[in-house]
Amino acid sequence: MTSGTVASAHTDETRAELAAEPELELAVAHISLPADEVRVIDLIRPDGGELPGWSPGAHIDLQLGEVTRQYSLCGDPRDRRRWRVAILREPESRGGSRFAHDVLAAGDRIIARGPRNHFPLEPAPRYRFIAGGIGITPLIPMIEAAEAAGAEWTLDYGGRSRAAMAFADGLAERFGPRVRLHPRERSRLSEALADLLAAPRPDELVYCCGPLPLLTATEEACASWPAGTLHIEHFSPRETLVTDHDTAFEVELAQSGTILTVPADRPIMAVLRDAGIDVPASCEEGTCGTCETGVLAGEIDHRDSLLTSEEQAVNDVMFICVSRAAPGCARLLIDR
Amino acid sequence: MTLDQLVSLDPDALRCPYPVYDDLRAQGVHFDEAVNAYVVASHELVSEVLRSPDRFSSVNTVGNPVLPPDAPRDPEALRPLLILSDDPEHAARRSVVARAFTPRQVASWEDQVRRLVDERIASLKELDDVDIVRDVSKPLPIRVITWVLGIPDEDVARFREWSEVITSSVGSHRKDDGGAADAVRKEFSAYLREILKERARNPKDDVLTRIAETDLEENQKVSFVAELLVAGNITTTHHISSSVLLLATHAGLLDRLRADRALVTKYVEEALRLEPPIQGFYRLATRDTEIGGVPIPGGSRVFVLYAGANHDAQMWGEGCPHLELGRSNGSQHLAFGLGAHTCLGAPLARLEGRLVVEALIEQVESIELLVDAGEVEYAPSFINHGLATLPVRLTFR
Repeated sequence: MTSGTVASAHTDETRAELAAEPELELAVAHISLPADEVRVIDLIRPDGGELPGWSPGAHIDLQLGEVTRQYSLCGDPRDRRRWRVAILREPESRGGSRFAHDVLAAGDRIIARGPRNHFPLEPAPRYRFIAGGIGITPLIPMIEAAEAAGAEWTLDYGGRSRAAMAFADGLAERFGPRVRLHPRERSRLSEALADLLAAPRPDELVYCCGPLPLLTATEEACASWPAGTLHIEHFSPRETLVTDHDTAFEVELAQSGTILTVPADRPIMAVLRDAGIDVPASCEEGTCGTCETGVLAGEIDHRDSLLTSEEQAVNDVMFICVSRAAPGCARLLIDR
Repeated sequence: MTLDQLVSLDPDALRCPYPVYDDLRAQGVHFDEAVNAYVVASHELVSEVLRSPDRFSSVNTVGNPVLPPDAPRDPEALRPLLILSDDPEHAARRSVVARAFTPRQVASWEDQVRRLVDERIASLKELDDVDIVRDVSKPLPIRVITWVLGIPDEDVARFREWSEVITSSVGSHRKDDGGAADAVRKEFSAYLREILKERARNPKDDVLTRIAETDLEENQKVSFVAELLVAGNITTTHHISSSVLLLATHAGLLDRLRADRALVTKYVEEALRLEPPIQGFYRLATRDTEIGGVPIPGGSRVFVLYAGANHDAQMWGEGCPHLELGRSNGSQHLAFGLGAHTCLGAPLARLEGRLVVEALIEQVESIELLVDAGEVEYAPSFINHGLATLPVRLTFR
């Protein structure tokens, strides 16, 4: 996760900070399904004691099976005995969200670290909140705090579809016209942004959380706003292993010499298709092999379910719907 | 024309169902009594359904009624391994068998499959009259799969007969065959059990050996082989027929492909897009949900119209009913589905499709249709879209 415009890689300093954080073993108190593909999980201490305090914008690490991921706390900071997170089922999951959706049950124990806050709510008389998909989660306690402080605020919340937008119904019911929903089949949040953010108002802060394209669009729309008014937090849809983060890299297409940048949160396949290159693909999860692509140079981070470890070690073929460049490899030369 | 007419197998509708699909797509997601299901016909929404297996189960994919879990089951019955299953069983089973059909694996078969294809096309020279369906599309896929599996030559004819009975008895309502289909299934299972044991003892470089070496249960191994036959025969047959029909009805296309071989793979994708052998399949909503903003009650059947998605102007432009070799998104059709249940045999189907075209380019000067294009006869199924016969005159080079 990143806040502001700082790069995503952990510095040595923050690694040390993370290493110093205590591990907490928590119990799952309650699970609910407020929307398609979204599970809300309430966590408590097994002895019922108080959890560390936190403020809106904070997040924790949760260990889900073999992966560790960060989740914003979306409950009430005044409830010191309960932490609430919302987990979206990711189609490209390497286990984390599948674990949370299919395996985790009430009563189970789970390891957490934190909380920490890279996205704190600064005091202001006016806020514009902008959420894309599961990016709504850190904004929920912010909205409650803004409401309690008597600040003016609006929320623009975009999602794949109304049914997929967790908390949308509750927010719309409680706050009426201050909440504007943009389910994709009806309107696109990114298109509404230019109008929404056309006129910066004094003392107004913008808080935005969601996938990278939304953040980029919001940054562009706020280009003329005073520095420090826009606060963003990035939700990457990719799973990460402990201390690993997906990074951007380049692919060079051997047949044309074209070089494309693959952002941290997009598969190679999507980047090629965006560039007008016809890539056959089907499962989009590394199981069918359709997108198999030869690799002529560079180190591959294999994430498919097809190659044996011997085949992976040969490093000459990859499945571009899921696999990426290995950490430290800046560019892959692929046979397309 | 309506979906109703298509389901009632009206010959004109079967030949050209696309106006019906355009209509269905224009209506948005809606319930249609003709299929007793919510019909989804746009590329975006069909893709979404296929990518959402926990909302839309595959348990009724082929339109089969879903038995309650405690219903009595015939232990001898061949239940498919993959097509009707959901995760986590589906993912576990598929990962076991998928390795036999990866693009690399299939590419290693190219030389031998090319020989089989070339022989079959060359053999048409000897015939007084050629029906592509009878003489190429039907025999070729079964010949290829028996080779791929590793069925001994002396058993191929028997194996082919069993396959035909098994595949045609799927979904059939005929209970009056005197138990012939059941007898065939028993013989087929017994034969496979024997040969799988043999391959486990004496491994060969074939797919039966790969299946034998997995840790699936014995009846699962037999079911998987049966599933390969049922899923992979008629579909490949229909693709080959449709592909040759397109070559015959597009003047100059064969010459154009001959002049630029690199276009053949693009052509195969367009043929799959325009005439997908499976027009649509079913899913079952596992809970109250929605598609495209339309509420879908839990337990509803959903009909995902791959062929509708393949003709969606949002994706393919206004020229989508036409064959165009220059498309930049030509392979994003849904003839092989999408997501976890993507056709396992797709690389093999693409290989056969390409080699048939290459053999025709090599051996045949021209293909002349002997019936009027507007009168070609389609097989009686609105799901399996393909020709019943395709009489042609081939001028050999």
